[in-house]
Parts: sequence; C-alpha cells; structure tokens
Amino acid sequence: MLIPSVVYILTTKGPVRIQRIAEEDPAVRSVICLDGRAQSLPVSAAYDAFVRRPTGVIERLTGHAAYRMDVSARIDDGRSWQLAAFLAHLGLLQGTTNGVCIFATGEVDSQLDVRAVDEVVRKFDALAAAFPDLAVDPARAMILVPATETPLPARVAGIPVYRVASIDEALKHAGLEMPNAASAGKAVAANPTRRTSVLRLAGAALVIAALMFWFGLDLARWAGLSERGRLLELETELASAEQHTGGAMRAAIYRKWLALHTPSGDGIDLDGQISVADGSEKCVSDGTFRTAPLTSSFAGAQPVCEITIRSISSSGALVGRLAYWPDGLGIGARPLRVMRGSTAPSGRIWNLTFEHPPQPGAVLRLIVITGVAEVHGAQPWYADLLGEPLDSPVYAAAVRRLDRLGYHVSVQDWHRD
Amino acid sequence: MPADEFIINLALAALDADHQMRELLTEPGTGRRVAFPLLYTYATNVAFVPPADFSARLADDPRAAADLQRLIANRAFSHVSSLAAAASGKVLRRETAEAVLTLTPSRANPAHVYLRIELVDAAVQAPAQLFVHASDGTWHKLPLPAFTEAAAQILLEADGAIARALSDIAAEAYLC
Repeated sequence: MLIPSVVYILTTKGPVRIQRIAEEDPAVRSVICLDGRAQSLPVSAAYDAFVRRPTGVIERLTGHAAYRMDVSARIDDGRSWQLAAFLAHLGLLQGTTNGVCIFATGEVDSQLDVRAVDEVVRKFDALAAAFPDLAVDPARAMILVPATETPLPARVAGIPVYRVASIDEALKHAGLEMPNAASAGKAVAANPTRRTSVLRLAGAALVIAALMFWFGLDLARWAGLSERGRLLELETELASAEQHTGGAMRAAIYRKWLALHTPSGDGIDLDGQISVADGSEKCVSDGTFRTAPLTSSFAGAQPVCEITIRSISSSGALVGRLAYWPDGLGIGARPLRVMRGSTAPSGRIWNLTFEHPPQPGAVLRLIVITGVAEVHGAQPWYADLLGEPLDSPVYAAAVRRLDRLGYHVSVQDWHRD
Repeated sequence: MPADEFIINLALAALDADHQMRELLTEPGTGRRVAFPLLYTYATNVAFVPPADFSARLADDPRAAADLQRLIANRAFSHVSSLAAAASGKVLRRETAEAVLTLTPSRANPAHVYLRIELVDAAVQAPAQLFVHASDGTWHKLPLPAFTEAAAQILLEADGAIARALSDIAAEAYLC
C-alpha cells in the first residue's frame, strides 16, 4: 500500500502543509491547530463536523471520533481543505509512505464525491509563487482538484493537475486504495444490483408520505421535537392536540409509536464506587482513602469522602441528575447538591466530593433518563423524581409522564446508615 | 446608544475625572488606586486587554480587587465556586446549576488541555467570557468562542495560568 508522505491544502494564500494528525479523547471536539500551538483555528467546528458521525466521514473511515490536525499556516474559512484532510487521514490510518507529495483542494460530501470549490486558479498562482521554497520534486508530486468545466492548466510548476469527481478517483491517481469499511456506504449508493432495495425504499417513502399527509404536519413537528430532546415542548404540544378529537387520535397514534421506541431498563448499566477515609476521622486532602463498590447503603464508622457513579447506556441517549439530601430524602427545600454529570463514553459519570461527610440519614439519589435523544430545555420532572419516595404516587406519575414521551427512568438510591 | 449605556458612560467619565484628580493630588508611590472605569472595562469588554501591571496594581489595592469581584459576580451568568474537596490532586470537572466545565488533557500533545464548557440549558444566551480568580488572588480572563450545541471548547496550555488555576480546588470562576 502506498501512502503520500506529504499532503498540502491549496489555499489562495499559498499551500498549507498538514503537519500532523493525531487521535484525541473522543470526549472533545476535533480541532485544527496552527503549527503545534495551543491555538485552534475557527475552521475547527467544520473539521469536527467532517470527522464525527453522523455527518462526518472520517469516523466512518477510522472508527475514531476526535482528532487534532496541525497545519503550517492559517485556514480561515470554507471546506476546500476536506479533500487534502481526507487523504492525510487515510495516510494516518495505513501508516506507510511512498514519498509522493499531494496538493489538493476540494470539498468531500457524505457520498465521498468531490465537490467543486472556488478560486482554484488563484490557488494555483499561489502554489506557483510558493513552490521554489517547498523543496518538492515535481516528478513525485501531483495536484488534485474537483472535476469542473473550468479551463485549468495541465501542470502547475511542473506538477501534473488531475481532476477528480470522487475520492475513489483521487485515490487511483495517488495509487492508493480505500479501506473496505469506508467505501461500504458509497457502494450501496452506486451498486446497480441494489436496485430492488432502492425500489423498496421508494415504496416505503410513498407510504410514509401518505401517512404524513394524513397526519398533517403534526407528526413531523412532534418527531422533530423528540429528536432534538425538547421533551417539555413535545408534552405541551401533545396535550394541546389531545384537546380535540382529530388531534387526540393523531396524538394517540404518535404515543403508540413512541411506546414502541421507548428503551427498556435492560440497556442501562449503573455502577459506582465509594471512597472512605482510611485511618482518619475526617476527609483531609492529603489523607488516604479506601474505595469499594457502591452498594445501596454504607454503615461503617469511617467518614465517606467521595462517591462516583457511572451510567452506561446501550439503548439510547442518556441524561440524568444526582441529588444529595444530607438530612434525608425530600427533607429541606431542595437538595444540597444537584449534579448533571459529565459526558463519559456511552454514558455519563457523576463524581460527588463531600465537603462535610454525610451523616446517618443522608441520601443520594441518581435519576437516569434514556431515550431517543439527550433531553434539552426545562425538565420539571426532576423535582419529583429526585425528592419523592420510590413508592409514592408523585414519583410514579413523573415516571409515567416520561414514559408517555418515549423515555425510560432508572434510579439508584444510596443511604448513609 | 441605549439610555442606560449613555448614563453608564457618563458615570464612568465622572469617576475617571475624579480618579485623575486624586492621582494628581497623590504623591507618586503612595498607594495609588486602580481606576473604577478600568475595572469596569476589564469586566465588561470582552476584547479589552488590561495594562501589563494590572494584576500587580490590583494586588496592592484590596478595595479595587473587591470592586472587581463584585462587578464580575453581579454580571455573572454562572459562579463556579471554590471546592472544599476531600480528594487531593487536580480538579478536572466543575459543575454549577448552569454549566459544566471540564478539563481534558490532550492525547495528541500532553502540553495542551481542552477546556470544555457545556451549558445545562441550550436555550439561554451563552456567556462570552470566563473569569478565573486564582487562589493567589490574581484574575485571569478568557474570551469564549461561539457556543455550538450548547458547548464551547478552548485549547489551553496545560501549564498556563488559566488551566492551572481552573484545576486548583481553591480557585473560583465566573462565566459572564
């Protein structure tokens, strides 16, 4: 397998070298940085979208969701860096080089077609002006640009220019091969033997269109709210529709559809860890701690210093709140602490460090809500879910309320005995 | 210009004039105060870069330091209080009712760290700057990039003042 050793992005201010691509923690967004510095360029948001599923193509290629790409000079705007970035990622994935230098400009869409970009001639002029300083052998270099009708020179600074309409064509010119996983999505779109599937899809689309007509715009609006996690707005809209007969019927059908997609509790995994002071009567910053798996209660004599709970979902998006009631569940106007948790792979993590170790009677309650999307906006049900006994009608009503919106509630209580 | 902005500017000009007069009447090296308009501009103007000796002058002027803290606190979208954590070591995550701040070390470059700010409510107006009040009393100001999907990410030097202060349990921060 031959891989280019150097990839340049063609810009109107001269070629910009892709110096390095490295994996980052998937919890962060992908960034393009300037020359190894702690300076992410404004184009980083577009790069993240180019990398991360569902819009991005790089995660589809590599299976990894976050990267840092260092470049030799600023790239201020546009998407014409995408063709060069794709080829550089392919180089990272395959790990060997052939000493070929590629200069590229072009936008890459989700079907891995290369789309036209502006100012190609100006980019050629900038390349020609900068070329003497680049120390590149024209015989071991190539220029890849989108296939358009615009007249272009056959060579720039002695480097051949190739017009490409797709990533496949770009790879052929560069002597490369596409990894199978990445090209799978493309093959589905291009393979004529899949015509039957396409016809089936078209038939299904017609049925959906007929249903949409019958539902009016309600279904699309409700589905949009659900997919964006705007649960309170969805609940309000459904309640409003249920005020009249036609709307009630549509709402009932939509709720049936929601019920089919409500995740069960089987896909939720909760585990935790408790840290108690070891050999001390207080939690001190330089003290030592003993950790143990979190159970439903702790009756030991040692002070509890920290509790960490992790929740992993294999059945949908997950959000939640951790509430700390130092005097007992629901005692006091509100919990002393309410934590939203932080994003962790496939779930969230809550880490509560106690300023004053919990005394007997203290309660910690974790509520985890899973569904089709992360819940956004106001979430008034948390007050009942976090502060009411599990066997109370108020708690049951809050669970039922979310269940009717297609979301499942999981709970974990911890008591200091 | 809105009427309240006009009044604010007028008041700041008056305070500035008063400050300059006091400066003239004070002998050099006898505890000159930091002008309130400078504090106000520092707290409210995202693009404003303070003079190099700003921190040193604040350290010598406890009243001005208190004024600045009040200015920032009163305008804050969210206050990230200092922690009385039992665990030692660096803090990598801080939560408030309005936002979650996370420091994630870069795998690609260990000298860098990602500061990620997630807003609890995506519908609110996103903050424009972060003030960090280090445990030694110094203030650090960080203009924030635009929030997308209720989150913003900033790449910092891991041993820079802001990253070090944010990972210190005794430091507090304000999103404004």
